[in-house]
Formats: sequence, C-alpha cells, structure tokens
Amino acid sequence: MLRRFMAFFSALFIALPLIAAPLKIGVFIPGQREGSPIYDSLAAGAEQFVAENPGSSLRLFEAGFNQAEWQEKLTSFVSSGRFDVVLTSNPSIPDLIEAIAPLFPTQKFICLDGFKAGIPNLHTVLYNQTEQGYIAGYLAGLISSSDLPGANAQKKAGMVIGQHYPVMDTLIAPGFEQGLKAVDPSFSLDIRVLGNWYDATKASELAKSMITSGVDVILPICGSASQGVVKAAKDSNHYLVFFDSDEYSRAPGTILGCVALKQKELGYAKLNEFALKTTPWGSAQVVGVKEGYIELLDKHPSYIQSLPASIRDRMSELIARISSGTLSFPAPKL
Amino acid sequence: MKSVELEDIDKYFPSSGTWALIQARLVLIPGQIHAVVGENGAGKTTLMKILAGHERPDSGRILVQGNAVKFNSPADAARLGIGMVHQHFMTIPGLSAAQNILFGSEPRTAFGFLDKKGILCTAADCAARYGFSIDVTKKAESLSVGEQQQVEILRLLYKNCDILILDEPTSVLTDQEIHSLFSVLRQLKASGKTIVIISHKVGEIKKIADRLSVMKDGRCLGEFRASDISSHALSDLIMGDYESPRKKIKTTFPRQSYPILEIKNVSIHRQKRKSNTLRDITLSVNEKEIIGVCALANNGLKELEDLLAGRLKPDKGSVAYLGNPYPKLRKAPWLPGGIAYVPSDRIGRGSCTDRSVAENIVALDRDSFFPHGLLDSAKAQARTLKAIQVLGVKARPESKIRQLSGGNIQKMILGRELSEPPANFCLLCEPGWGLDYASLRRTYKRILEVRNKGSAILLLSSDIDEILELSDRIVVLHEGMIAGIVTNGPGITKAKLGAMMMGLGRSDGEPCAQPEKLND
Amino acid sequence: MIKKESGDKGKSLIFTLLAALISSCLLLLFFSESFFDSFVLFFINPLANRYYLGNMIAFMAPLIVAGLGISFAFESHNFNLGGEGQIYAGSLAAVLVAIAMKEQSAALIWLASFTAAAAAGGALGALSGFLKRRLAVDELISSFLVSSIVVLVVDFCITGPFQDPLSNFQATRAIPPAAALPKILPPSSLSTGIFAALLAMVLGKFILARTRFGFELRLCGANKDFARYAGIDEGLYALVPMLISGALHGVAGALMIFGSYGRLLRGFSSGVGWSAIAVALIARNNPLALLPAAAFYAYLDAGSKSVMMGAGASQEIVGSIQAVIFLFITATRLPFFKAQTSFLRTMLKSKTGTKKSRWRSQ
Repeated sequence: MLRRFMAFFSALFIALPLIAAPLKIGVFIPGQREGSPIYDSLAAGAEQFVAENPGSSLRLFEAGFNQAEWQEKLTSFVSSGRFDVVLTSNPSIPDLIEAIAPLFPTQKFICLDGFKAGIPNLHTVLYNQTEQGYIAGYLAGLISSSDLPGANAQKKAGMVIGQHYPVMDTLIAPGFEQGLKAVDPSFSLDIRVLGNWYDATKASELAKSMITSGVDVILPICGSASQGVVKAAKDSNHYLVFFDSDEYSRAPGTILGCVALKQKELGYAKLNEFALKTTPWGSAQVVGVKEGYIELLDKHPSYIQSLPASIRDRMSELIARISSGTLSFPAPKL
Repeated sequence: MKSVELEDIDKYFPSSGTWALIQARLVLIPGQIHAVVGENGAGKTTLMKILAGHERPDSGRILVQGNAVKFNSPADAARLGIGMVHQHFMTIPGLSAAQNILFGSEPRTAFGFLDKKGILCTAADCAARYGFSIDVTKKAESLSVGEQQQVEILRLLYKNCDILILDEPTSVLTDQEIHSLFSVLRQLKASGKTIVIISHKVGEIKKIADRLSVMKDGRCLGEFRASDISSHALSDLIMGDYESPRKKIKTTFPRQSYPILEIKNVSIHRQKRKSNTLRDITLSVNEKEIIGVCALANNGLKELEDLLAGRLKPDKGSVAYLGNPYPKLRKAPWLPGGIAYVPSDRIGRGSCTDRSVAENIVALDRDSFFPHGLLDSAKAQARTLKAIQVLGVKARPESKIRQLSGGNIQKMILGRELSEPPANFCLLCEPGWGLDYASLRRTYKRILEVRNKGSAILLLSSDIDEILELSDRIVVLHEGMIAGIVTNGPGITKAKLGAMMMGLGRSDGEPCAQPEKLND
Repeated sequence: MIKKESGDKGKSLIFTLLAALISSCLLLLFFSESFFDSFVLFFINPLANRYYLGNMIAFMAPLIVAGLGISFAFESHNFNLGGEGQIYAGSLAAVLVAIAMKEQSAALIWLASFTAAAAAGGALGALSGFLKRRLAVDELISSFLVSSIVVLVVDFCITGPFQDPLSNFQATRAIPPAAALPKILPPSSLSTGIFAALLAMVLGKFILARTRFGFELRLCGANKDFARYAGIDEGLYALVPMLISGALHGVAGALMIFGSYGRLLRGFSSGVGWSAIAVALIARNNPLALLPAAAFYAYLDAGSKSVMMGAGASQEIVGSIQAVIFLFITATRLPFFKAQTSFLRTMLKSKTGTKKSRWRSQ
C-alpha cells in the first residue's frame, strides 16, 4: 500500500510541471493560524504546493474565533470568486459549505477534517479519529498501568475537551475509551467539558480536580486552553497524551505521546490531486494510519527516553496491526 | 486702567425675529461703578454679553483704550480684563468653592496633576485680598446664593479682570447680602476696578452707581451721573409711557373664609445640615387670602417650597389641600383641584429651556391636550395664547424658552400659573424675580385679582417690599420655625420684619411675635 | 407647534463623519498592502457587490431596531448600556419558543417568538429601570453589569442545556425552516426583516413625536425637575423607557435570528448592542434619522469587511478603523452635553476642547 502511494507521488512530481495550469488557491482558516498547529500545517501544505508550482497563487484568510461569523466570512471569501479551489479544515465547515454550495456551483471546495458526501463541488477528507483516539487511549492505558513514577494504581484516565461536538462524541471519545479498555477493561474514562477553547485557568482547575480523583493520564483537546492542563499535569507529576501535532517540546517528560494528523501532507496531496483534476468530487474520504495521515510520533527523543521499552514495543505492535489492516475501525457515519 | 467704549452696536436675533440692539452706545470710565438700567428685554444683557465676548455684534465697534477690538469668545474679552457674572450662576456642583474660583487655570503639581492644596491656598488668598469672607473649602452645592455670587466675582478677579460686569446682581440676594455685596463693590472700586451693574432697581442703583445708562427697546436713551438724576425721573425714563397704579393696596379680610391649605405640625429633618429643616410648622391659608412668608436664606423658605412642591416628605405632621391629603403630583392650575405653583427656580423647575413656550404650557395638562393620546394642537394653541396674554410675554408659542430673556421666562411662568380660571391654591415663590417695573405692577395686579376671585395664595419671597405690598398676613420663618405671624397693615415695617427674621422678634416684646388664630 | 428640535448642529455631525472617513483612509493608507485596492474595496465594493450590499442592508435591520431602543432610553435621559445582554436574552427566548412551536404556522411562531424576545429583553431593561427608581442605582452601571452576566448565562445555555448535539458549532438547534424570514438578495443574509425594522422605526418616531406618552417621555429626558413640576411621575419614565429599550433590543436579536442565523450561535451578536449606541448617537435620537445613520454605520462595517477579505488588511486594522469612527461619534455626540443647562453650553463655548474631557468625568 505504502509503495503504491510512493509510486503515485513520484508520478505526480514528474507529471506536475507538464500539466498543471497556474492555480489560484484560497485557504479559509476558521480561527487563527498562529497558535493553532492544525491550521498552521494546513497553510504550510498549501504554501509548499505554491512554492513548488510557480505561477500559482495563495490567499490565506483567517476568520477568527467567533464561529457565528464564519458563515458570512466564508460566503464573502467565496463571493469574491477569484479562487479555483478553496481549501479549508474543520468538522463544522461542510455544513456552511452545504448552505452556499448551490449558490456558487462552479466554486470547488476541499475540506479536511470534515465529512459530508453528496455535494457535487465539495470533497471532504475525514481523519479516522476513532483510530487516532484508540491509539492515544491505548498509550494512556499502558502509561496508567505502568510503574512510571507519576502513574498510580487506579485505572482512570481523563479528557479535557473544549465542547461536545459530533466528531468528539462519536469518534474521538469512544475511540479513546476503546483503547483504554483494550489495555484493561476495568479502565474508566473521565471527560470534563470546558465550554470554550481558550480558558486555560479553568482548564487547569478541571485537570487538577480530575487528578485529585485519581486520574493520572489526560488527553486535552481544548485548543489554546490546553496550556492549563499541561501546567496542572506538570505541577502534579502526572502525564499527558496529545493529539494532532508534535507537542512534546511543550513539556518533555510530561507529554509522553503525540498522535498526529498529517494535515500538511494531506493538504498538499489534495491540492496536487486537484491540479491533476482527479479529485473525487461529491465524495467523502476517510484516511488514517494506513494511508499515512495519522501517525504516532514515536521517533521523538522525548518519547523514547520517557517510556520504557515494553510500552514502546506494545505501541509499535499496535501500529503495525492497524497498518496491516488486522485491526481496523469502520469508516464513521456522521 | 482701561477705558472702554461701545459704538453703534446692532444685534439682530433671527431666531426670535427681534432687534435686540439698535445703535447702542456705552462709555465706561475707569474706576467707576456704572449701571445699565432698563426694562426686561431692553437689551441690557445683550449689550453686556457683547462686551464680554459671549455674543458678537452684527455691526458697531468695541474700543478698548481707543483701539478697536474683536471678541470671538469670552476668553478674548478676559484677556483684555473684561469678565461677566451672569444672572444665573455657573458654579459647578461637586467642586469646592476654591476649585470653582480657579476653574480652568488651577495650579498644578510637577506631574501635571491638580495641586489641591495649592488651589485652596490661592483661592483663599484671592478672597482675602479683595475682602471677601467666604469659606473656599465649601462645596459649591452648599454655598448660599450670595456666596455663589462671590465665587463668580472671585473667578473673574483671579483672572485679573479689571472690568467686572454683574447681571442683575441683587435680584437673588437678601437685604443683608445686598448690603455686603455693595460694600465689596465699593472696595473693588477703591482698588481701581471698573464695575458695570445691570439692574432695574432704581433705589439700589442710586445708592451704588456713579454713572448710569438708560436703555429702552435696544437703544441707549442717555448716560447720566447718578447724582444728576432723581429717582423719579429715572424711573420715568425706564418705564416710559406705562402708567403706574401707585395706589396703596388695601388689605381687606373676607368675612367668612375657610382654609384651603392646612399645614399641621410639619417637621422636616435633613440629615446633612442642621439649618435646613422645618420645625413644627402649623399654618393654614384661607380662601381670598394672601399669606406672605419671608425668611433669611437657609431659614426654611426653600424647604417650605419643596414641601408644597411634593419634593420633601414631612417627617412629622401632615398637609391637607381642600380637606384631602396634599396631592403627590400636581394638577394644572386651571383644572379642578389644580394648584398654581411659581417656583423660585424658574430655569430648572419652572420651565424646560429646550422646549417651546407652547410645550411648556401643554406639559402641565396632558389630559386635556392629548385627548386619545394624541396632541390636540388647536386646544394647546388656545391655552398658550391665553397664558402668554396674561402678562404680555414677548414670544411666539413656538419660540424656545432659552431664546427668551429671564424676565420673559418669569412672565411666561406667571401667565401660565395665573391664567383663567385661577387655582384654589397658589404657591408663588419670588414672583417678582427679574421683572421690570411695569411687568411687576401688572403681576401684582394679577395676583390680587386672583385672590379676589377666591384663591388662597401662599407667597414665599425674600423681597420684603413684595411681601409688604401683597400680603394679607405675614409669616416670618427663623431657623425653620415660625417666628411670628402678623396681619399686614399700618405699623408693620421692614425693620420689624427684619428683626423677626433675624430671630430678634420675641425679645423686644413686640406684639408681632404673637401667633394669631389661624382657623376661625 | 410642538415638535422635536431639528438638527441645528448638522455642521458638527458632517464634520464628525468626514473626520471619521478621513482617518479611516489614513489608516488604510498606512497599513494596507495597496492603498488604491483597499480604497476601492472599502468604499466602492460594499455598494457594487450584490452580496456585500445585501449583507449591509441586512445589518441595518438590527441596528435600526436596537438604535431605536437606545433612542427611547436616551430621549428619556436613561442610559442603556445593556444592549448586548438584552439582544442575547431576546434571541434565546425567541429561539426556544420557535423550537417548541415547530408544528405551528410561521405567523404564529413569529408572533410568539418576537413577543418572547421583547419580553426577555424588556425584563432586563426594566430591571435596571426598577433598580433606578427604587434604589437609585445608576442604570448606566446596572444595565451594563446585568448584561455582562446575562451574556455568560446565555452562553452557558447555548453550550449546555440547549446545545444542538448534532452540530459542530456552539449553537442551539435551528428554528423551523418555515419560520425563517423570507430572503431577499441571496446569498446575502438580507431578509424581509428589514421592512419590520423600518416599520418599527416609523412607529417609534410617531410615538415619540406625536403621542402623549412620547411627549412625557421626552419631557422627563429634557428636564426631570420640570416634568415632576408639571405633574408627571418621572419615576415611571425611568422604568418604562428602559423596558421599551430592552424589548427593542430583544426584538433586534430575534430579527437577526429569524433573518439570517436561523439558530442561536454563541457570539452571534458581535457587538450590535454597542454599534446601536453609535447609530443612535449619529441619529441624535431622532428615529427617522436612524435609517441614514444605520446605513452609514453598516456601510463602514461592510467596507471594513470587504477590505479584510480582499486586501489582506488585518482584523486589527479594521477594528481600529471602526474604533476611530466610534470615538469620533461618541466624543462629539454624547447626550451629556445636550442635556445640560445653559451653563454648560456657555462653559464649553468659553473653554477649549481640553476642558471637555474634564467635564465628561464629572
């Protein structure tokens, strides 16, 4: 499978300069690039594409944190009508695109991290976040059951989330819990909801409260508020697993694992696919470890130094099982 | 020392369509007290506002030391040492007297902050230098009227003004305060200041002024040395062809009368200041009767007004009107059960300056003028004209109140409150305030007419002449208590009332201190 | 004979607006990548582009209605700084009622939802009025504080009990599609709500200018002491105008929900309550002048959005432009000055501008 991909990419690189017309790319970021690794890598993917394709152009638009304004801003962005393709990323964006797609039938949209099929000018690619959650949960379970100094005897792990939303409730949280229970069925998962994505103080309080109740590993998914969770875990000598990007440097020795989404690579690949006019419009793809877009960052020194070989081995074994298809998670229905 | 001349000043007010000044002229001789006299609306204030830079003339010249100058703002005038104390004082509540005096040019600390201590010292020095006896640490709102005036004058002196213009300076002062004002003015004159007084009180003018100019209908009739013209000739000049009904008013008691307003054992305690209270006031006003109430400032007159205006609640005792509890909200005077009330504060309470004359009259009786919730213009217009005609207000119904002169506003209020049909009870506070002689006579005549038609009138005034002229009975307040009730008539003199007002009434054994029977 | 004062200070208004425009231009000149592009995008594009034009007009609807609410408060010399909270509360009430009534006809839903919105907003406004009347609590402070709390409470409701479990947004469930106001210029968010706003505006003008209620209200605003003297219960006019003001803000919120959003999204009002104050100040509380004032404000808003989208001017620059405009407007038009007696006028005439700021702090 991997080999097929390699071949595909090589073909792409050779063919690209010959067939690609200069593209106008619009990148719509529902938030801000700075401080959001997921959006930063989306933009980086697009930038890489533009750098490698002279003549193509890129407009980056940051819509800010007020989600109530996204619809209007997306519409404004699109109505300027100057883009061959609009690349964006967020589970909530497909709904916004659905509302305006009929009005801009010639505008093409590619939305990562979202899932909606049947709209002829929209292609979505969803990360299999059950898989991502399962890997994080499995690692968390192993850490919690280990004899690491910050681990306790209780079979408890926690999550601090910004808010409830469908991807969280149907994919990530269940995946995380499955991963925990795969290590030991007696594990219980404690989920705390922050209510926003920025209140680090409150996030810290929530984390402390969980830690007091016996939680020793936390997965924070709460945007910039995660800094509060990092601090709480660090102060009390407990552990974190992280999502979406390489976060080890924020607290080496506390953050013991990162399950990353290869957003930059996916965005870059999808733009190339668009340039080759092979985008499967109207379809919704799901990608995961097997396709190379979800990855446990196990080469990082922090990971290698902090975790005992036994845990690392069991993680490698898990990744191998998923890559080979022995362990698979059904494509989610949202 | 500067000489000032105003030459051929014209001023037209398009908003009211009047020529306020026509070829007006004035010469000020340094170091003298100069009076500008004339009826309300004669143009005195406008002319002085032009001199002080508040208004710009349409044509004409202002000469200071023989040089023609143009004032675009009061600041320009102040630079040449000309400043004006307005009829309505402009002290800023919340600031101390000292801060008011130095407002705009306060001493500052090295960091640019206000130097509070410096302000107090400078202001106190300034007051002492000119012989003022004012406590500069007092807050503006607790200053008496006379003290506010001192603050205004000091404000100008602090800015080194040597030409001071005072607009009707005595109209709000008690006799004692007038006395001290005059001694201050004489002292200022002695120190070389030039003083201009706008007034229409002939007696006072004769007493204080060195020179005087008479104005009428926007023109200057002439300039005189005060010693050259008799009071009689002067008042003839001011009044023009209006015939004064100079007959002595007879005080007749109706045979049978019953009380319209009854105040029983009312006490009001104000926490903040001991002096501002009413203590055990019992008083009833009968139909066809005018009761004059007089007092020195801060002796309860204001509180009595506020009590009957519904602003102060009695802590003890009760007030009844026509046998019922005194109404919380006043009905218009021309309605049954209505009350006529001419407040002492004509700008703040008696009128709404941003609204038209008509609106100021309609406001009192929304029930009649807004049938079904919408304005009945014809009816409102009729009532407005009626109210204007009572005392001949020089304004159109749609003129804004603030375009009117002070006297005209007072006439509008009086006309509104005393128009037909008169109310059973009239509360008249300082009704003659700011009125020229002719209007004053007309007002007094109207007040007596209203009494003769059966109204009970309570006249609160600090002008003892007014009290003596109108009252059937006179009540004197001292420190919030009734110091005495006397029947007006021969033998009641200003001196006697003054003694009672100062709390000396009882000790000299005069019969005036005996309270009379009120309800018989 | 009895009418509102016409704008005798029109000159200063024009100066204000010009100054605001010029300083916006300067900011653009200095901070955007291409001045010419930005200029076209800022001033021309909002009118030339159908989408921006539609949104601009759509934005006017809540501005007019909320601005009318502010005018009612200002005219009676009350200060309602709680617009945001009132809009929020009104919207929540409207959405909940609409969702609960999803089986009913659209007309019925509108009636019930807008009533609920007015009631919710009005209750908040009336609370401040009541506190002022009974306890002499400054309504300026109380309305602002109450609003700040209400915003948090409504946020909690949106993300908590009323969160749409199927949505990735922090939002309530959507109102029944049939109950959404008919759209006019798709894809813009312009809906027939603008006509409702215009109707409210004309009605507001009529009430203030012609009726007894309006007369008494304005009299209380112009001179409370005189109003009391004339036998008007001025305490009532601390309460009722605040109630009306709050209710109109609630309705403005409901208009936004039914006109464009279709659901209550967290943060959806994004400052309409504050913008409405600016609009009412430009309009000098004259309801009919709310239309041009709202148009001006919405035009600037559309222009700044257009620049942000098209020329890459950062959000901060656009925010600064709006702040500068707001500053110019409020500095010259605060009704503080209008309401003072002749004293203040003379005082201000005779002093330089630096004194004004001192007065403001009094």
